[in-house]
Amino acid sequence: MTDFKVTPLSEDSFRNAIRESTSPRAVYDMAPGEAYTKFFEGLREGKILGTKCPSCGLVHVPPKVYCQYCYLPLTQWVEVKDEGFVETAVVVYIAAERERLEKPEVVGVIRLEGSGDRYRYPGLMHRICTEPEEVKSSRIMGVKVKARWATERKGSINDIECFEVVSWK
Amino acid sequence: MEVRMEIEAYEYTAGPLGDRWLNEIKQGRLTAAKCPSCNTIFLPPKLYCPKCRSRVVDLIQLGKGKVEYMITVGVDDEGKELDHPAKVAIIRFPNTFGGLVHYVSDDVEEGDEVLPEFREERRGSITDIVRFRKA
Repeated sequence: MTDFKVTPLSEDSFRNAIRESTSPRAVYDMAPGEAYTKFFEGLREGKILGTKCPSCGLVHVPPKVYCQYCYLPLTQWVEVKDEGFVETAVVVYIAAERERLEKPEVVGVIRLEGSGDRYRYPGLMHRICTEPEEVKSSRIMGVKVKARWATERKGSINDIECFEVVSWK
Repeated sequence: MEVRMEIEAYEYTAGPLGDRWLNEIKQGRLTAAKCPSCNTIFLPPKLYCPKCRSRVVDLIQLGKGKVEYMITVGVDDEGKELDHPAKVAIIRFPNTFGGLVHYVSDDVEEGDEVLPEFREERRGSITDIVRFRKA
């Protein structure tokens, strides 16, 4: 039986697949709002910022203006470490508009140190600089990673190039 | 800061099992997924069983369904009034987990047994079934 884990969709499979196409006449216009604006400004300075709930103590990264558990307004800003643990990861073979990537990328959710606990963590989604094999073997799960910062930063999530493995388990 | 993105079109594919399911519809057969491990028959088809997570291989042909709930829809997906209001129903099948949402013919009521009415020309789409009519 074919193994679908970490298997790229071939151009042929896509061509032969039955497709449904819709043209929704949609335009997305996204403004980052109060919390994300400050978050992006923080990234420009090489800092990862979150908001801390005065009631449950959970640090929200990326930041929110209300606690998703207590519904309280969040006004306290904290800087969290640019190190954390890989909660989950996946191999990506195609880019946003389905163009094939020359080299597959690994993306995942990283629970940053200082941002919440084991059961409740907002988690930052980003690229992880590692080989697809490490995802296929699940070796990457739970591994400690650290942000690799871009030298020129402009207040974007890409100010972090990716998260690099600090040490293998 | 602002991010703007215009969408030209979405192209959906149904995945390995969904693709086979649509091909069955193209052949004029309505099928459901059957789990090889716990024997659960379910709709819509998924590659992994919703009960026991086993990998699904087989599709089995379905017979009559039964209309569980039904509503009359007066507008289309953009809010425009329809010339002819559509009857939409949740259709369940014997011993089958899940079901289908589809059009039913005007004379169908809740509790009625129904069968799919296929188009002459089919392309492998859920709309190859025009509607479900009284069995």
